[in-house]
Amino acid sequence: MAVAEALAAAGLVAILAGAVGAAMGCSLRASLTPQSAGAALLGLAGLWVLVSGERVGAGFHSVLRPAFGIDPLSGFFLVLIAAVGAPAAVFARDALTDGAQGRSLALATGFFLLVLVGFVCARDPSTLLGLWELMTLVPAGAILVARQDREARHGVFVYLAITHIGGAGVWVAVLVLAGHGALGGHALGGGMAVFVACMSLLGFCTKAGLMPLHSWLPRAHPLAPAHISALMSGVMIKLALYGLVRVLFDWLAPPGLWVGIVLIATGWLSCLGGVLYALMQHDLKRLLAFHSIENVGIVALGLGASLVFRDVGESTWSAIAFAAALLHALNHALFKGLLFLGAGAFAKAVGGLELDRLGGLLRRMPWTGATFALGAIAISGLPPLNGFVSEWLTLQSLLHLGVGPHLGVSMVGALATAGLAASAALAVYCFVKVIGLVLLGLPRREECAEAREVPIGMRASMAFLAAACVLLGVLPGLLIPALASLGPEHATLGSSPGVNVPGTGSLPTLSITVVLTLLVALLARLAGVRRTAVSPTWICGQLTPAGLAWTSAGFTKPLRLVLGGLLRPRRDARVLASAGVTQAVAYRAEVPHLFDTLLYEPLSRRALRAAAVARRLQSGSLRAYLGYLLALLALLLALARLELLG
Amino acid sequence: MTGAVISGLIASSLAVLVVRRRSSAVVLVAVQSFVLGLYALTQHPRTSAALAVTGAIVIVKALLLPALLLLTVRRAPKERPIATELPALTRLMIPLALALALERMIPRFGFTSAGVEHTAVAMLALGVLTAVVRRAVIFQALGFLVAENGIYLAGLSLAGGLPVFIEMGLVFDLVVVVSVAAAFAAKIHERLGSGDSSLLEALHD
Repeated sequence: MAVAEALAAAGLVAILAGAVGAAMGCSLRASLTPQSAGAALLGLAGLWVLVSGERVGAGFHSVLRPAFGIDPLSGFFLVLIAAVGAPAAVFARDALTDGAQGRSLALATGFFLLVLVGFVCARDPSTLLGLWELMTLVPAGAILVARQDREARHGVFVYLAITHIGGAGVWVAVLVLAGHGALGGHALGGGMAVFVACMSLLGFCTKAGLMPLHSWLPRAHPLAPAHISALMSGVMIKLALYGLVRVLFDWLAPPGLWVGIVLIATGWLSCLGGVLYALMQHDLKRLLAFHSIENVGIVALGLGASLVFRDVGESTWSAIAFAAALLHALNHALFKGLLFLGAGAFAKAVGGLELDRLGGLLRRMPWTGATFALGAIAISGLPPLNGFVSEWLTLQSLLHLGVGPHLGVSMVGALATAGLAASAALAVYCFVKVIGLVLLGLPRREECAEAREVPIGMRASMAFLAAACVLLGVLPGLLIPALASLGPEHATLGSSPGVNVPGTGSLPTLSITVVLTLLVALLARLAGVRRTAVSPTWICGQLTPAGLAWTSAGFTKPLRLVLGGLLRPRRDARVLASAGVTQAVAYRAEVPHLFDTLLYEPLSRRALRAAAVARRLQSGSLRAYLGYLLALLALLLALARLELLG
Repeated sequence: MTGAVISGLIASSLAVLVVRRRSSAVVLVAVQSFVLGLYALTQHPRTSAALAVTGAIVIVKALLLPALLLLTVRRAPKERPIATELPALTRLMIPLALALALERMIPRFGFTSAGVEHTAVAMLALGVLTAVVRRAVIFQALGFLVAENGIYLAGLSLAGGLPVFIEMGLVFDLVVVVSVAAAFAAKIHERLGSGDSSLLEALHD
């Protein structure tokens, strides 16, 4: 184990050195390169532990004494952190501008990486909870360093408010578990297990951005600098799922079928809700943020299915569903990291990321455009990339859930399967829109027409992530057995380059890749020999101005019309006329976020009303405060007299 | 401690609740503090350092702080009547009932003299209740002095008494509280023509 320890120690020292360098005023290159190397070394340490199955450092314990260690599950999440963290740091090297703000962001990046690593390696409740809080606060600080406008401040406020309210559930769950010695001891069972399960679902699902607890995510993620967005969306929300896995699979005795079904239900809602709202967005980063909700929903579907399988006694399928969830978490980290970095590259080249004001970037930024397109294909769940494999594996798990002997479980499985299939189709629809509006077509503004490719460091980091998406799409079988062994039943799956799942006919990913590659090559060759006459688009003899090109809203209008009753779109068209002649037409349309208007806004109004009532108690009068004190004392004494207090 | 002294301590604490004149209340509390100081000096043989501390406490509580409060009263002689003050009988009966209830509910501390224990608890409760029911800042400061006298009496009843540094700490706190209250009373009288602390409640945002 000396190798893993040495790699981890070297990685931590490198990240720390990079962060200290940033604080001391070193250049971005000098501070972010060691951070990237450190993240990579930590990823190697994690991979070593994951493959060997051994443990490094301390084990979990319930005493409030700081301790760190790596077990195979932590090792997997270290790989996940490194897979996004290392390229993100390289990207930031060229994306940030050298100066006080850039150095502060480099420092925040290093600190964020350390916190993320520390959270998955924490082995006691105090360190775990402390780093949990820092994991929320550090990106908030990074956002405020990058932007100080009103929108950013409000977004950070909402992010901190919701994640802290939800985070209370994490504190309660972990402290109760520690109080019962369940961290590293016997799993907690009985009625208290139900309570802890509820609290952990509330806390971890809020941070993971699962619907309906997701409201902070589409506000906060787009505000951050691109590489921080990649870390938040690719890694941070996955670590919330890591916490959930620890509690539900390791520290709690099976609390019942309902936990798995609740996870499947939230996953289902997040899948469909996330992709539907992503389709309605007009800003690229906000669209990507909603897709994070969708993909976290897919991971939740896998975890929920694993819990249900465990409860109905299907241990192999429980492990398969668990592996599907972890694999999708890693895959999403890769392609979402890639997409956020791509969005950052576009933003650096052309300014804003409003979908209706982009276009034609593939030709002008071929490296960025190509890797971004690859990420879009991966997130759409299309073969032969990694998103397809993990969604296929999740779909197989849900299908198997649907054909089980228990009617209720079968119905849940069938509904979840339908939901996942629908979300996959809608994701394709959404990214056809993104590729069409961002990469293809004509540039819709001058900055797009003059866009130039970003520096080599940014391109290299995106190329690395794109290559990882291809690799995990072609050879997922190298990882799946190791992930299945982390599951609740430690099942052993056969090793093969593709996906070898019992009773499904398996998925020969390598063969699919070869066939698709040959097919694409053939089509390209055929297209190459065909003679094409290039001429302007025919549109009544006029040139095609940008205003007449497809818009984001226009592309999704069919879906908006079909789902009008659900999405409740608003539109406001005003014709400004003078003397009977139309002078101007003002048109405004939006799809309100129904979770905000129907859930969070009424809740927030009631909370403010309750706060106004509670504020009356704070009269500012010393006499009143003394009165409260005496009343409390009298109440406690009375309770003690009645023997209602210990 | 004799029954007469105990009665005197309780009576003076109750009197602070009802008397109208601020200077009368200050004198009552000063006397109460002086009696307690004398009682402390007559306790078990103590070291010269402990005697010095007790003497200092008597000087501060029975002389300096009452003098400061009297000075404050003298500098604001034309006190406007406090219209919202509860009637004297109500000011007496409500705290008395509450103090009795609290005294009944508090479990025994185990002092050798039950009478002293009841008196200490009653003085503490009456002192805090004085600060609750009286609106003038001077009376509220006197309430704290009465409450502290209750704590002091309890400390005297402990075997070996309170450690010297705790006694000094308590007196220091009291000096700070009463000094701030006196300054506060002078200031609001200067601005509002009254020492009624409830007038300030309308000032908060």
